[in-house]
Amino acid sequence: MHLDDSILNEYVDGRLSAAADRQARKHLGTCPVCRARLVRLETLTESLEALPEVPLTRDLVRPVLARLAPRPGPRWLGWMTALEAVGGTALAAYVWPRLAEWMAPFAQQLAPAASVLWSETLTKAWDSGWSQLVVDVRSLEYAADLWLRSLSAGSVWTWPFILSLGVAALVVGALGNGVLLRLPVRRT
Amino acid sequence: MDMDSSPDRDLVERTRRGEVDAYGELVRRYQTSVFNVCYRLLGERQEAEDLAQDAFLRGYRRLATFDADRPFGPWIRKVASNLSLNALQKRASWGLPFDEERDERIDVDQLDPADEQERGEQTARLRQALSELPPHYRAVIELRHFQDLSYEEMARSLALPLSDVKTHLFRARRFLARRLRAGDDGEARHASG
Repeated sequence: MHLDDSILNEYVDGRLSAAADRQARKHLGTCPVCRARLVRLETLTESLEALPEVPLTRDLVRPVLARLAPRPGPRWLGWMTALEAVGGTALAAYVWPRLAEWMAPFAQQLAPAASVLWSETLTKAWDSGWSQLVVDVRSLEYAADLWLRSLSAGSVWTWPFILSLGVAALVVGALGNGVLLRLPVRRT
Repeated sequence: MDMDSSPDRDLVERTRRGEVDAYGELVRRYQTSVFNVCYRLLGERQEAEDLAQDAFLRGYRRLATFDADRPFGPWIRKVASNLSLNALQKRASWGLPFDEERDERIDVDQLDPADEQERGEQTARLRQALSELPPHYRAVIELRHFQDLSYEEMARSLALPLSDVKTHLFRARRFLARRLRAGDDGEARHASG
């Protein structure tokens, strides 16, 4: 009766309990077949552990560091972003009051219509049906019409205002690009 | 302190403080052993080099979780073996051959004295036998004999029951022993014929 493969392997790996290890050792002392199997197994494990390392053909330090280091953006990008932020803030400060003034007629008309729509019409629509909703949609149309008339009257729709809107759009776009395209910086 | 003579622990601490060059020194020290982990598991040089790079990048990102009181080498090799095992699992076809051109070059380098030549041939045969192992057998051989993991650690690493790990390991060893013996027999026949 010979040692089975698992016992022989666990013997080589030092995994057997003290009692099992003693038994295996005793058997190996008397069985030349199992001793030969043990020698083959030990030779294999020694050969594996002595297997020389294969040399690298290229150095990995530079490519690894290149992928680790934060890639610096162009030097002007910082100034550009600061300029964009200041310009954007200044323009927002200039445009906002005019925009509020420009929107006032529409907002005034829209507010009651919207409140009617959300507070009353939806509940009424459940009760009295479609007709009330139609009336309120017409009140919205009326509000939009009033707003368009105020625009065509030229109260705020002036050339400086149009120009400032265009510049604001450009600056906001550039600011967005400056922020979104900024390369990520890795942290350790 | 000179970077070349700094212990790994200092280099890890300096890397954590943001000194990328300190990590470069760790890469320099362990690049060959990390590459060899990938190469033994994948059997393909180019892929192994790419994966070794990825292992160092992953190691860098996970350095915060590394216990600096433990040695860096086994840790980064374990990162590499995990990556390689994932790559092996993703492969549609298992068991690509080793890079023949490179293996020939190693043999040529070792041709000078007769015993060196014999040792070179044995090494080449062992590499060849390793490359012919099914991937799940290759994985247990790598973890047991090259990473020195216990059976329990191998089971955790491979997400396998302990009994499967033992079975794979014993069968893998038997496979290798048979391949090597077949090579020896073939050589003996060749020498006598």
